[in-house]
Amino acid sequence: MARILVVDDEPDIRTLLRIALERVEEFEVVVVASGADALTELAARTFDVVLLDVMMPGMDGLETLERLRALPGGDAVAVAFLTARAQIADAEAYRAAGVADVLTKPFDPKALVERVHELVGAGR
Amino acid sequence: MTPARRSVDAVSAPFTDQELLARITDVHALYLDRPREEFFEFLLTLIVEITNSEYGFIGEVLHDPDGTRYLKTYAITNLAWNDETRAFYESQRELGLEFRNLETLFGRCLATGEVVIANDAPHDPRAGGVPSGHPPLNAFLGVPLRHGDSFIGMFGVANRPEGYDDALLARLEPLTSAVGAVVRAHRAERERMEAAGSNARLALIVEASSDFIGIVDASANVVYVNPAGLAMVGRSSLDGLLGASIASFHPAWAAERVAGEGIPHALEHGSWIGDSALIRPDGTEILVSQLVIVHRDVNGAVEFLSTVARDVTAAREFEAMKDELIATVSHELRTPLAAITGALALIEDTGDLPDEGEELIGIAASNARRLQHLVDAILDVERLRSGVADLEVVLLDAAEVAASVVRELEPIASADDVDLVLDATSAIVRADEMRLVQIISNLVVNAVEFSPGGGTVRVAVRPEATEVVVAISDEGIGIDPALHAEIFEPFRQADQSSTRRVGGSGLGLAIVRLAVAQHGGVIELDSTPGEGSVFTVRLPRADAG
Repeated sequence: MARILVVDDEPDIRTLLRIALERVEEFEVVVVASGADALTELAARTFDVVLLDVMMPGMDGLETLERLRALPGGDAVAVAFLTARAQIADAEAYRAAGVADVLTKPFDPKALVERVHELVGAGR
Repeated sequence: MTPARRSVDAVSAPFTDQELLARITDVHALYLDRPREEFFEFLLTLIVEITNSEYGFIGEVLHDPDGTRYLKTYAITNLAWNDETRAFYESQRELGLEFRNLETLFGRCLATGEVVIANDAPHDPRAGGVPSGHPPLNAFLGVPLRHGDSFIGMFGVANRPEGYDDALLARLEPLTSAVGAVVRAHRAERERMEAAGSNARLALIVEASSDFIGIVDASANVVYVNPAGLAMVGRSSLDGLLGASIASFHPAWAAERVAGEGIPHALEHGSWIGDSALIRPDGTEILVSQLVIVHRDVNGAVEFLSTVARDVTAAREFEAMKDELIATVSHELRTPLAAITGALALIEDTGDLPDEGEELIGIAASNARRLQHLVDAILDVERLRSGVADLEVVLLDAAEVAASVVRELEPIASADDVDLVLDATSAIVRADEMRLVQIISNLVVNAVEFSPGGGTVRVAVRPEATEVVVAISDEGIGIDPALHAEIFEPFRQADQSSTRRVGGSGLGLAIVRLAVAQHGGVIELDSTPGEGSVFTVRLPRADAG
């Protein structure tokens, strides 16, 4: 069983990601709406993969990442950014910030699941 | 003034030399001090009387736009025979009557420029008859008035009881010359007044224009600025600016552009148009679109330069607002579109839909994707235009990139029955791979879309001395040369009706141009409507020298 945390301020996107990922039996999916909620979850239990929206009001993805890394064991978790396709040119900058992958929205469910599988494998 | 009129039958004897001389003196004296209208009426009376005629006319020969001559009367004997014709003569008295019917005795004179003598007018084959009620026309003399080679006017007289002959004509010659001279003088005077009037009107337009209009002499020193221009630069008059250089009106950068680029270009090509700015004494800059025109004399020497500058601040603000609006709307569309395409993909993925449901979901999904592409393209243009898009520059072989694009697009081309031909020689450029792929791919997709079935699209890559050339040619409908510049603007396609057929976003070429420019390259278009187009991208060669 792999535990996945989805962080996105858009309720519909959260739901879609949850449905897509829950179709995989070995994934346990937790969704939250903000960076702050994500940090609370991460402090409470361990996750294998965090899918983190970059553009969020308040604490954005980059800041959430920084704080996440500062948590005990925060170094071990595989984090992927979620970003709009038009921002794909920033992917290199994001990778430099220390994420394992950059996933674009809109997403193809199959491709998404495949990438998350890879992240789970990489984390272990 | 009504000149004394002799009754027709009072004088039947030919005039004497003294009488003729006296008349000519009258003509000259009266021309100088009588209002024109009265003068020509008097002159006509004089000609009618001295020739012992019954009625007549004097007029100027003018030309219709197609070159056909017509006669405009300066004076015509009022022959009104009823209320209607009386009103007609009265209303036309000041403006003159215009006669265009050439199938008449006077028309014969008008058409040929030759003297017409007809002493049996009612039976003359050249006659056109007279309107019913018009006094009878028995005899007619039409005399052309010449100045040098040009036929400037004529007079006609009618119904001399003895008829007209060459001897009379010869006797009249000094008078005819005098009449010709005054018609010519009158015409010149009228033309002068018309020219002065049109100059005055042009000056009024310049004075009332809301654009900055200025004139500088051949040394680029200010001679004139219209009121709107003065207001734009925050001044109430030209005091202290007459003879100043144009630098007094422009911020340094704009003065440099106008003097260094605008004026030299205008000297070579006649005019220049470009972005510039004016400056107020307090340092405020006003962005303008400026036109510079060089005016030369007949020998080609520069006489003066004029400039028209239009305040484009509002237009620029509007433009920026429009771009921002498009970008904002597109940003706002992204998330809902991602949700729609994501949800549709999840439904498709379940795989247990009835056939019809699957088809409908397929339609929704493909249209959502289309919208998605459009939004992505708009945001891409925005990023490239604002210079936000960073390039991740690496050394690339354009030939390899082109080959991969051709492989990728092969299925699309063959679905359209278009042959994709690659002719690539290794050529190294410093480029962002994603952008280079986008440049070549957009051009190839564009070429395929505008190709007829069975057509060929060629993708050529070759290194030149300092450049790498990527040329994409098609055998399509071609592009009107007039549209070559605007086709690279967002949302422009040469043939608007093709938008639907091709289904493009209208942004492909805009993205190409912006991306090429960002790489320090240029794009050229060679096209002949009906034969095809060649888009040539020139990028700096990385291994040059």
